[in-house]
Amino acid sequence: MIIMMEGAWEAGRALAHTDCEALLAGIARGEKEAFERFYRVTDRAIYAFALSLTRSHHDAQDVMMDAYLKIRAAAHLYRPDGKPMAWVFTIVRNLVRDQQRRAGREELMGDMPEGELALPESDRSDEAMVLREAMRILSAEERQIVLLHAVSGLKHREIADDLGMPLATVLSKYRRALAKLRKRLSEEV
Amino acid sequence: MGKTWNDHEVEQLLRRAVDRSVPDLLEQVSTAEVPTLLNTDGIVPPPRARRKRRWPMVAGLLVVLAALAGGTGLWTWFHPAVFLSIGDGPDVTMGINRFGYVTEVDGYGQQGEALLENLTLEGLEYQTALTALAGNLGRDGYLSQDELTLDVTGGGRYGLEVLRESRDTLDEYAALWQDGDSVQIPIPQATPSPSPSVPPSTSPSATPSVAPSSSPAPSPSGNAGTTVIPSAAPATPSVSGSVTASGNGAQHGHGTTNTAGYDAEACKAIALQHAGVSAADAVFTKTELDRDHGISYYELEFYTSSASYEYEISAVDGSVLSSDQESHPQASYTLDEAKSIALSDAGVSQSQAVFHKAEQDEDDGRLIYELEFQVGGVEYEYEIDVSNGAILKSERD
Repeated sequence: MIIMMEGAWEAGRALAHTDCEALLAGIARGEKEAFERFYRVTDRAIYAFALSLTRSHHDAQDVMMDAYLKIRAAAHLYRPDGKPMAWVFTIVRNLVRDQQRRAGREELMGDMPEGELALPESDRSDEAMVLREAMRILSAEERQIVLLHAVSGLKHREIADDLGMPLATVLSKYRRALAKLRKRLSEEV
Repeated sequence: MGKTWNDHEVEQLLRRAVDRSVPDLLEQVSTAEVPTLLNTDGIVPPPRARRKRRWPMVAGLLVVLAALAGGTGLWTWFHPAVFLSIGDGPDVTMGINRFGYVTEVDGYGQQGEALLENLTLEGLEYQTALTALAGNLGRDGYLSQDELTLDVTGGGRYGLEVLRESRDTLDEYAALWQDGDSVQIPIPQATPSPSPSVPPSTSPSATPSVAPSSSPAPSPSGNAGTTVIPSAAPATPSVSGSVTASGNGAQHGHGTTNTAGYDAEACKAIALQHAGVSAADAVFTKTELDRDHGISYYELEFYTSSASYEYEISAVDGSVLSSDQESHPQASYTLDEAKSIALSDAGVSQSQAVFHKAEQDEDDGRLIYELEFQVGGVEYEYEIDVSNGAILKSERD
């Protein structure tokens, strides 16, 4: 458990300090090592972002796979502008949009219907509960912001840039989301 | 009610949950055959339009502008905008630049040269120069006359302002000299010109070394010390020492000295009472002595958690000359919440951080929290907006 926690944390910190633009350039040149390194520093962030949009582990997994295949195919089309993760998150968002259209799934009151998570309902651990509650009680934007901040190691300002939101919006939604989760957790545990 | 969780712990739980859930797809995605995408396809966003590299031209333009600005600034600094003449001759003329500093001084004839004896006035604010000159003017009888001849040449409206303020300054000393008794001349405290052209030894003395013949009177409350100069002072008081820097924010064009009854502390107390605010609740951001139409007054600015205040209090009789108040919107975030925001952003827990500073302040009319904390050997500094919790500044050393 400790190793897993450290792995997630280390990956998150690594993302914040990795030159993803350089890695994308390496991927565009077909460098396998660059792609592997890129995958290792971004997998949790991409999965978390996909999960925040789809609310379903299986859908998030499909989107994650498609995202990396798309990145391999289109890395040469990325024009360096200092925001490589904004480019990646846009790809993820567009994949989710297409996935929902193909499945004929309609947005329910501006959000996707809740699906199954990787951690089953029977899992009563604190982390399983908080992830379930995050999917259940947070709005779409709150989920995106909280999961990205928790997992990616990106600062609020960077998240605001990558998601194309004002910083004040990110901060206020982040605070509100954490307050909701804290309250819910204290009721449950 | 169960356990209380903090933000850091909640995020830790989310990280753990994601870590347990994230699939490992590296093998699949790295070995799959992937055709190269030739164009964007509605999934991959189109590249942003490349802006033309204009920076060399912009840089060149900035250099030219900076050179022009620098040249203009230098010319404005060294070129006198106004000439102030003193005495009927005139006996002394002073060139004063747009910033209120003396660029050149000339004495005419024996009288003029005597007035300027042992004085170096170039580089001083003109008010300070006049104050330094006042001793010699008084000694030589200029201030005992009914009206000292003052005139300006050039400068338009600015010249008229210089004339008015010069007259106010010298009238004050004239009133003292016309008493005919031992007089107190407040020693002005002013900052020498910041120009590199000013020699560091600039010293119109504020402290004549002649021993007073009578004991000095108590100094007026405020920022000035005094020296007593008998009306029959020796012809040439030797000058020494140097002008000391003001701690009271004397401004260009004012350079006032409080010779009246109410000092800064008394005026602050009057303002607080008028505002109905206790001293413990108020933070003063400005306490400045000024002068207008011959009346000295204190300009005061202070704020509380709910409002900002501006006052002008007469230093002569303590009356409230003007007052202004602006209420702040209610603070939305507490100090603890601001700390939480900063800690979360830094990715550290409350227990790891040692706070060196956690206080509310004001910046350009906006209430902020200033936070400084240390985690191990790393120091963090944050500014959080009180009204919306936004991080305005974050630094890490």
